[in-house]
This record gives sequence, structure tokens and C-alpha cells, in this order.
Amino acid sequence: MHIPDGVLTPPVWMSLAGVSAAAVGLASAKVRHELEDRQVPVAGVLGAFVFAAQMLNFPITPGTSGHLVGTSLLTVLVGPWLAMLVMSAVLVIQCFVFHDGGLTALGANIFNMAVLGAGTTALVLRLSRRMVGDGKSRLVAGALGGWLSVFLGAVTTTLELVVSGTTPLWPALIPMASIHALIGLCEGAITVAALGYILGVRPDVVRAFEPRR
Amino acid sequence: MRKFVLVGLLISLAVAGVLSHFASRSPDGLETVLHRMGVGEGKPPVPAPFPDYGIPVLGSILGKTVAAVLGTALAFLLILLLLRALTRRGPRASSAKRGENA
Repeated sequence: MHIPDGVLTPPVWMSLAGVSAAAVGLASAKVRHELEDRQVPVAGVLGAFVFAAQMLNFPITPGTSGHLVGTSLLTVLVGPWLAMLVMSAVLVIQCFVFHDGGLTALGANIFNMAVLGAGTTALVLRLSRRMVGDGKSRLVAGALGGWLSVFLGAVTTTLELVVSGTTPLWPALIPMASIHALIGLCEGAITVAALGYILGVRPDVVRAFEPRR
Repeated sequence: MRKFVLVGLLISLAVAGVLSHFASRSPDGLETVLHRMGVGEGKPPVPAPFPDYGIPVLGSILGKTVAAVLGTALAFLLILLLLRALTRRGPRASSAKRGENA
């Protein structure tokens, strides 16, 4: 879902760069007051894992693949603000070092994958806490948040292309939404599997990021 | 916590360096749709050192492994540096503010 260079018009990518810069700024302000030193290497290793996992493209339909985004996984583990920062760092490296995602599209990619995904998953997590209780809420949020964040990210990606005049609306939206509805299922499944593993083996890691009240 | 970080790093490096060779090479959802609609990628304004996770001089297999391992290590280090910078400034800034108010 990484948008390349040359498909968004300047007004579109510039406004999205502004929105993402504001979101990352807000996330930095939030994280600055809450982050503890012992949490820093854990956030780093989760970011490294997401970077690596994003290289594992799996086949979705003949000729098309998908890969984990990882924002939902990060959000459930470390909270939306830190997840946004970690994800943005991953996207920055992919963009500048590997040209995966365009330089001019960096703000759009941060918005579609990091900001939207963290926000969506945080909302789903809050709702599921209320509905199924604390125990299962993380897994429910990983599954639903994972699917929803990929699906919504694909929809906003398409709308950005449409507003840029690159593609017409329906002929782009229908395949984008349907392919990513499938990729989202994998995102949800991988997120639940990873969460189940980490919560089972090292629940203390997740507890270390819970806000102290 | 240290063990979690070390084991997690090893798993990530193995995923990047080894498992990535078994990943699907098909274009992703967005690439497929753009290609079908005849939309081409634009030229990047600044060239990246290892475009598409490859280092041509090292060949396709070693090049990808090295690029992937470098990227994974870089992700870890960049996040560490950024968050350290944030937290280091944090307490000082807030204590300075508190000083002003008092």
C-alpha cells in the first residue's frame, strides 16, 4: 500500500504531509511525557520486527501479493501514539533507503498506514474493552483493528489517487477495496497470532506499556 | 526485558535476511491496481541507496540479505535514537516549566 512518487498531485501530497507532520508532532508530545527508558529498546525491536515482517509478501490472488502493515500490532502492544512514531520511523527508512514508497508520498503513506491504523485500532480496542472485557479485548482489537486499518487505509489511498486525478473513482476503488479486504484478513490473523504469542510468553512486555493510574 | 529485545532482534534479522527470500514476488495490491489502470511510477526526486531492497553489486541473493539485515538494524537504531532524544529532553523541559511556574 506504499504510494510511489508521481501519482499524487502537489496539493494532495503537501496537505497530507502537513496532516502527518501534525500527527507525528502530537504523538511526540504525548510520548515524551509517558515514555520510560526501559520501554525504548522494546519499541525499537518491535519496529525492527515490523520492518522485517513487511518484506514477507504473501500471495493473495494469482499475480497479486500483500504484506503485513503492523500498525495494529504495535498499537495494541504499545498504544497508538508510540505506535504512530515507530511506524513512521519504519516508513521513513523504507522511503529514504529502499525507495519503497515515494519521497513526495511519505506524508500520505504515514497518514494511510501509521496515523489511520493507530487511530482505528485504538478506537476498536477501547470499544472491545467495554464489550468483552480486558482479557480478550486485545485479541479482538488485533483482529478487527487489523482488518479495518488495512481496509480503510486502502480506501483513503484510493481517494488520494482519485482527488489527484490519477485514477477514476469506482474502477480503482472496487479492486483496491476487495484486494485489501482479503489482505486485511491476513493482517488480522497475523496480528492475533503475534499478540497471542507475546501475551502468552511475555505478558510483562505488554504490561510495561500500560498507563499507570 | 533485555532477553525479549535480543531474541526479538535475532528473530527480526532472520525474518529479513532469510525468510524474505521465500516471499511472494508478485506486485502488491496497490501496484497491481495502478499497473492495470496504466499508471506508471514517477521518478524519485532523490535516488535511494538500495532501491527495491537490493544491492546490485552483491548479486540478487546476498544483496537482498544484506539490504534487509541493514534495514532491520537501521529501523531498530533509528527508533532508539529518536525515542532517546525525546525522553532525554522530556524531563528537563517539564522540570524547567515547573520551575517557571513556581
